[in-house]
Amino acid sequence: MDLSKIPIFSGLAGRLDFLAARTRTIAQNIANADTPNYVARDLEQKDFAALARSASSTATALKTSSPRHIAAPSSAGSVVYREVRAPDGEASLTGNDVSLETQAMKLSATRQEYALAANIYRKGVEMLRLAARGQ
Amino acid sequence: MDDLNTAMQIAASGLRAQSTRIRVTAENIANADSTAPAPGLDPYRRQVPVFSSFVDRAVGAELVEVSRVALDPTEFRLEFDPGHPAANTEGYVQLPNVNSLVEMMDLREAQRSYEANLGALDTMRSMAASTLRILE
Repeated sequence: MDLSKIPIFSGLAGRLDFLAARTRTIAQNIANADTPNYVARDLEQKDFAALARSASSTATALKTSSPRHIAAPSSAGSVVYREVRAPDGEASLTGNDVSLETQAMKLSATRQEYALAANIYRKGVEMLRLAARGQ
Repeated sequence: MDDLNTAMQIAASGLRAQSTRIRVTAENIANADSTAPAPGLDPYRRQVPVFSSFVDRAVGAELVEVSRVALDPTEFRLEFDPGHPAANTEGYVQLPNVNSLVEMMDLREAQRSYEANLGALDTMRSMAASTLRILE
């Protein structure tokens, strides 16, 4: 059984991926809170509605009509989160603009969203287990 | 999980850099009254840690480090003390350009930044734990 073929699990896995990558960026900001000329960064927020639309439209997908055709690699498996500048707006004399408070807030929000997604994932696995056991 | 491990390494580099800063500041405070052993020589010169970020290819992220410890070029303080072994012919002694108040403030700031990195590390730990709980 491939859990990643079940939409809820693949969606949640993507969410966990994104939140972990965001934690990485925030950790980088906090570590560089005293580095001159460092500007805070954040991950580019994906427009999920647009992504869903593009995923559902198969107009640009490469068709394979024979088993010997090589399918185009799906873009879903290779999501790259882009880092963009997200200044906290507290530039100090050294040109560093990281605000530890803002970063701490972002970090705790990310942590809670991560816990939420991980919990839903766990509940989903429990549900499957329940279905398999029959009680 | 990979990103979480990377994040932990980034936070660890922050901890390292801040503890180096605390070490340098402690040296400054300890040497706040270190005069020269003889007239004509310079007393202790205040040291300033310089932070810079660098890309660690093995980790694949931008870590932070104390790239060098620079010397503070400001003037030394002068104090009139003719009996001092380092006093010049006019009776003045050069004292280090260390201001204890500034050093204390720097120490506090380093402490706060250290705690922030520690908090980030704790968050990463709890996130990794919540991922492992899926296995239960």
